[in-house]
Amino acid sequence: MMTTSFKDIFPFDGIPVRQDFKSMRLNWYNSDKMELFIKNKSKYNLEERDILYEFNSYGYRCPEFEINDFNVLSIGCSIIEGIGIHYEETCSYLLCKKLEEYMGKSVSNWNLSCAGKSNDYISRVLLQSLNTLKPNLVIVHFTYITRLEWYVLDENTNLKTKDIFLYTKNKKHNNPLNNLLSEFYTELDVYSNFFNNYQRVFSTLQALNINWLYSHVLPNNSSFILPNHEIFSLNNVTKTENDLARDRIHKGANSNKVYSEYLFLEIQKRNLLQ
Amino acid sequence: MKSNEIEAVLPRSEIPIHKHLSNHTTRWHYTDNFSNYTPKGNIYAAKSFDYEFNSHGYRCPDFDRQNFNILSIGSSQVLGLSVPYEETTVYKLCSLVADYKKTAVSNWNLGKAGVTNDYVCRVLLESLNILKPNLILIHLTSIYKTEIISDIHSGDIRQAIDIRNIPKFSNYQYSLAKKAFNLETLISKLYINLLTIRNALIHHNWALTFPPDYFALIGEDEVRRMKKFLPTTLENLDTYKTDLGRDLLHPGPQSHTDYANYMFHELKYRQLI
Repeated sequence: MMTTSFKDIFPFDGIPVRQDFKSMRLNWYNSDKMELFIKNKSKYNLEERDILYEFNSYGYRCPEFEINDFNVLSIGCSIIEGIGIHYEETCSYLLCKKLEEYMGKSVSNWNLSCAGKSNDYISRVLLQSLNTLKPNLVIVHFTYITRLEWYVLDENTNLKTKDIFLYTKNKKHNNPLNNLLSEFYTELDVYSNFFNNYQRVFSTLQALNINWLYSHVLPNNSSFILPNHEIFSLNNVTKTENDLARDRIHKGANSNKVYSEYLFLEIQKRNLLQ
Repeated sequence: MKSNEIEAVLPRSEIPIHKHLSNHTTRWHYTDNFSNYTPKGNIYAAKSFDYEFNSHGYRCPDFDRQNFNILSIGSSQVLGLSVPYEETTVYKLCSLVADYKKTAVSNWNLGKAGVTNDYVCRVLLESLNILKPNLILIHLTSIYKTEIISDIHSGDIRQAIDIRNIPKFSNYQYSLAKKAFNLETLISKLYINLLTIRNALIHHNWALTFPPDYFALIGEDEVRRMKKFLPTTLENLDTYKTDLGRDLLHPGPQSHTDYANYMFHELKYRQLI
C-alpha cells in the first residue's frame, strides 16, 4: 500500500510541491557544498560568498507564484536554478528585471527549475502547472538527454521520483538502477525520449496559446535537430570559461548576465511580449 | 550517432506513415495469423475477410475530409483486429453518427495492433493539427507495454515490449526491461500521457476510454475526475466473454456492435456529436 499516492506527485492541475524544500532557507545546496568550497578556497584563492538559497512555499527558488502584469515561467535544471550564485544573479531573475524596465510593467519570475533533474521532470512539471499558472511567456531550458525520471517506493512506501543519470562510455555508477537503465536504453531511445518530451511541451504550449522560447543542452553534433528553433543555451552563449559559480561546476554571475541579455534580445526579435 | 538515425526518431508534424502497410491488402495481420487459426468455435472462415490499409498504412479510407470527421487512436481493438472492417467499433460508430447527423462522416482510424500508450500520445500530437478532426476518441491500452527503438531501417522503427509477457527466450534488452520497469514508473508514464492528451485537446471535443484495470491502478476517484472518460470499455461488455474474432483472442463482431452503440449514446448524451 502506498502512503504517498500518485495524486500527490501528479496533480492533474496544480504546481507540484517539492516537499523537502518548502519555504526552506539554505546556505549550501546541491553541488554547492561547504566541504567542497573549503577544499577549493585555497586552491583557487576564492572569496567567501554568503549565498542564500530561499525556496518558496512550493519549494522553488523564486518568490511565491503571485500574478503580476506579465508572468514569465522558466524551467530547467541547476543551470537555470542558479547553483552557486545569488538569486539576484540568476539569468531568470535578470531577464525579468530587464523585461520590467523595458515594458514598464511588473514582471513575475516563476522559476520551476530544479538541480539534477531531467527533461522528463521539465515536461511533467510544465504539463501539470501551466493550466494553473497561465504564464504569458515560458522559457524551457532542456537539460542533458541522458537524465531520466523514474519512480520508486521508499522504505516508508512513499512514492518518490528518482533521478537517473545514464552512463556514457565506461563511466559506470554505483547505483544498480542507473546501470540497469543505462544498459536498457540505447542512444536512439534516449534521443526519442528527448523528442517525446519536446513534443509534449510544444503541443501543450501551442494548445494553450502561450508564447515560448526554448533551449537545450545536447551533444555538439546534434545542432541540426529541431530546425525551427535556434540552438542556444547558457553553456553555448557564454564563452567565459573562467566565470564559474561558487561550486566551480556551474556558470557564474557574468555568464548568467550575458545569457539573460541574449534571451532578452531573442524575445524581442521573436515578438514574444504580445 | 549518425544524423539519419536521429532524424528517424524526430517528432514530425505529419500523420506518421507505416510504410510496410501502405496501400497493402493482407489476409492475416498480427495475432490474427494463419498458423494460429482454428476453425473450431470460430465464426469466421479462414478466407472470410482481408485487411486493407490506406496509403498511410492505416485500416481506414484515405484521410479525405467529410462534413464531420472522427479520429480514433488506440491499439488492436480500435484497428478491429480479427473482425472485418465493416464490423469494427469505429466504422459502426461513424455510421451511427452519420445517420444521426444526416451527414457524411469520415472514419479516421489510427489504431494499430500491439502499440503502447506512447504511440497513442505521439500519433495524436503528430496528426492533430494536420487532420483537424471534429471529434477525437482516445482508447488507451495496457500500461505494461513500453516502447523501444528497434531497427530504424524496418517498417516499424518503434517496438512495444509487454513487461508482463516477456518471451522465455527473448533478447537481452527484453530481459532488462522486465527488471527495470516497476509498476510505479509504468503508472507514472500513464499519467504523463493522460496529462499530455488532456492539454493537447483542451479546445477539442474528445472522449477517452481505457482498460478496466486502470481503476485499480490509479484509483477509481482519480479516474472519474477525468470528465472525458467513458466508463465502459469493450472488455466490460458481457458479449466479449463469448463473442470472439477470428484469432479467438480479440473481441468479435457483436462486442464491436454493442460497444459502438454504447459509445454513440455516451457521445450524444455529452453533446459531442
